[in-house]
Amino acid sequence: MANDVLTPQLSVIGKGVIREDVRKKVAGEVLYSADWVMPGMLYGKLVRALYSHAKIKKLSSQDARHVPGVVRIIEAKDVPVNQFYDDPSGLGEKVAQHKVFQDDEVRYAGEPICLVIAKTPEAAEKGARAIEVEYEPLPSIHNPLDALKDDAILVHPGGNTVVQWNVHKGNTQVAIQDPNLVHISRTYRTQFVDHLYLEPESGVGWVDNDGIVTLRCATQVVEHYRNIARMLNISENRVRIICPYVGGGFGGKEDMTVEPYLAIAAWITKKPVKMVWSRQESLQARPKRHPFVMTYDLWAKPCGDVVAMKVDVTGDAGAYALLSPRVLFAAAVVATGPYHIDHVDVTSRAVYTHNVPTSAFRGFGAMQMAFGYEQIMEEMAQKLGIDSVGFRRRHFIKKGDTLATGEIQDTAVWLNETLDKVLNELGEAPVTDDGSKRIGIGIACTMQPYGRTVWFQDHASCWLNLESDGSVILRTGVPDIGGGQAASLCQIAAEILHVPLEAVRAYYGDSALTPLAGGTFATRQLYMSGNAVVKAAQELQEKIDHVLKTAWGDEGWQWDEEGMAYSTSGLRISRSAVYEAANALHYPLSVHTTFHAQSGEGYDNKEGRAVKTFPDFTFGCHGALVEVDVQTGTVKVLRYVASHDVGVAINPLSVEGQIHGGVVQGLGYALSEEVLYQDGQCVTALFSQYMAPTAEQMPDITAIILESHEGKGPFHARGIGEPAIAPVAPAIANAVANALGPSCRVRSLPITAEKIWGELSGLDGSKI
Amino acid sequence: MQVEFQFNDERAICDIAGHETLLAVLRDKLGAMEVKYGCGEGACGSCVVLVDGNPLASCITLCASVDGSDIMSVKAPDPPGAWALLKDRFAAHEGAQCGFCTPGLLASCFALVQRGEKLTRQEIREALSGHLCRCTGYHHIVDAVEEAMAIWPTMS
Repeated sequence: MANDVLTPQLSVIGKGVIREDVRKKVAGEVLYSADWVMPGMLYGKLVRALYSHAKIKKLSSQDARHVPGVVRIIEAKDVPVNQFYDDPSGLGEKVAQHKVFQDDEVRYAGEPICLVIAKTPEAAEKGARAIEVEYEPLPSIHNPLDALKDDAILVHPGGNTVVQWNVHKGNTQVAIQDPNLVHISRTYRTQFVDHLYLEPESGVGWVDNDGIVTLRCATQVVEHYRNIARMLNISENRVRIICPYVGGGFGGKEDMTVEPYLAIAAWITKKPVKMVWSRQESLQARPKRHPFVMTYDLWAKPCGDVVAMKVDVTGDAGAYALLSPRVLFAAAVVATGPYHIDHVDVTSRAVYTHNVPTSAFRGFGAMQMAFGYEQIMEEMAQKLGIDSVGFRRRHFIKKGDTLATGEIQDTAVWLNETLDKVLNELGEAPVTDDGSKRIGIGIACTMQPYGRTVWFQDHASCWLNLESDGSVILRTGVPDIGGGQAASLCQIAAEILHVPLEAVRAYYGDSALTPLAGGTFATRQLYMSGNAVVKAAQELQEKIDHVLKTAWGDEGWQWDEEGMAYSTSGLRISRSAVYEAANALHYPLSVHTTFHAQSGEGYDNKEGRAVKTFPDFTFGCHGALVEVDVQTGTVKVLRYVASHDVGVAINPLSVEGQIHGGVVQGLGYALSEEVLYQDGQCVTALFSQYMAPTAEQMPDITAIILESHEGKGPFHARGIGEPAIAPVAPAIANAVANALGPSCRVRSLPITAEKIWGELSGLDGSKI
Repeated sequence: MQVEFQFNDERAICDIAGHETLLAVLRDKLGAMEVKYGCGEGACGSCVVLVDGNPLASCITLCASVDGSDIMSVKAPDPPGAWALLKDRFAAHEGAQCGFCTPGLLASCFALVQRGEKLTRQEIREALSGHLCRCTGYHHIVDAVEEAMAIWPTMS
């Protein structure tokens, strides 16, 4: 099977090859979703709700219709099925998600109400401004903890709890009775953040020659064509989604963005329609990362043995569930971090509020938890007066251990190895003689799943064939969002088929023409599609070998660097000759195959146990050296080291890029980024108000890639997309706490200068 | 009104309204899709082009103000080879992932490299602080620019 592939001498795998897509991108030759133009194209602009909770009394479009250039106003009544349903936990509960257009009760500021279609973007914008919506404002709820109270305003009739997950291991109640135990309880909070990909949500939709509703748009999931078919009440084989290179996703293009609006507009007008969301509407109304309130209770023996851990997590789901059930599940699974603890109780819940919905964002709930578990471990070590590094090492899970959920960790756990590398590289904290500066050092060790939970029956298909000139075509429905998704698949095919990398061409991201591969999310694409390509390439190579033997005899065939077959007797056969021979044998050199991930039973939420949750985890350690200015509270990151075991690095340059990118996105999360809302109204709706890191504030990053050869992906690779961001915020929090000295710690993100200054001044940072 | 300027060494004559931005004219009238809309506030750097050699955010530049100017994007003809050098080093170091910020970023890099700047890594970071990249973490970008600066102009 796929996992047994480990060619002794690899020629393309493990090489930092230059990605062809990068060459095209740097040349400005890639046409992204917003760059597509069609004859007679119209433009769409959404009208969004102004209130976070209100009854829509009346919608008047009379004035908008008279705006020159306005072609059509599309409202709820124009949509065949104006409601999306989903089973986000995957356990068979159908949840009513958002409407295409809200026509009754607005639940968040920015919720789409109607769509103006016009001949120019300016006319569409003018038309949208001319739409009059009469609201009856209603009282709203914005704090998820308030939303859990008995008398809370209900966001949806069924109650404000979207989902509650439980994990139970051992017997916490009994274990914590020992009066000699040291107990600490701490609450950690995280904030709303935005993906802030550089490419806004965009696309063009049209109805093609055969009546197929076709959307060329920025998405992480081409399978959304099925949702569109349901919305239009047409057959799934009448909708097609084409996904060109995406200008960044990070989970923000996992839920649908422009798709339903392009589809309904093209369907009704029968003309091509373009829509590009403004940056400001993206910041205001697009789903964000879940803010978490995490309360950790930890009990340990005075000697430094952890006995029990309780974790209570509340995530703000905002007004609609979207992927919240899955996000809070990932949070529950890794709540105890990469530590072996005998007695565990975890409760994690997602709660509806009248805030903007929250959903997928790189790290998907699991990364927020690292801000909790890596601080509580540090704080306990401090309380016990023992070395926090040794304290961690003592409790690291090992291969073969039972995790908190009851599942067995069945691959290598290189926590010690990554930690050693980081400590070695960071060295000792330098001493500063500048009295206004304090230096701190901090680390964080984390685990992050890759792949979807096992009861989702995840699968990915591809189609691989040899062309008559000996080149190779790989067709795969993978959306390429910039991480080299297509390029790494080409490397895998080239390696197994013994052809030069340039001989493989990937066609990707088209729901009609490329076999479905599932979305690019959950750090699943290398694992899933990588294994699918391994399987297809092995089958294709077997066919090629068969043709060689049938046509030219069993001659101990081998392959040279140019991709020619040569025999012990001196024959040299080109792949185009093999193609011709195969044709004559009526033996097509084409393979369509599907890789099925390890699957398993649904989660037992009553018992809080699982045989398996996620296919596997990626482990790693990050370390930071920071300088805190005690007069202003500002933090400067002096050094940053990040190490992960990636199993095998398919393209080390791309792996390094994922780590660098994850670290900087994580540094923004740790130190500066926050989307601020006041009663559900976004007050940071300008790009310039959202403090994402630019180059000058960021340090060089030392990325140390380790290879245990024990991942579950192709060639034993592990995923690295999401794992790279998880350790950053806790590493920084620990470094800042280390700089500030005993009893000073900022337990809420972002760790701003104001909060640090508050800690130093003896004020409660959370109140500033 | 009518404006006339050079765009990538070709003469462009456009009838525009006074409020039209350079970004809108380059994309919608001249089909220069390599110039990207990222924020519309002049804050992300994706729309940067060179106006008479200086990097400018085209989304907050009125097209009327560039009358008579010489404008370049990443697709400009490149006899001296500075664009080619930068593109090659960006590809070799994977200084782009999703690539959306890249054409604008390269315009600023071009301005630095072409005038022979030899900057430290931190100075390169400061010089590029008008550009936001959300994928790469900047490290590979700095690698690419540092190398391009070291090579230029000896390679031409």
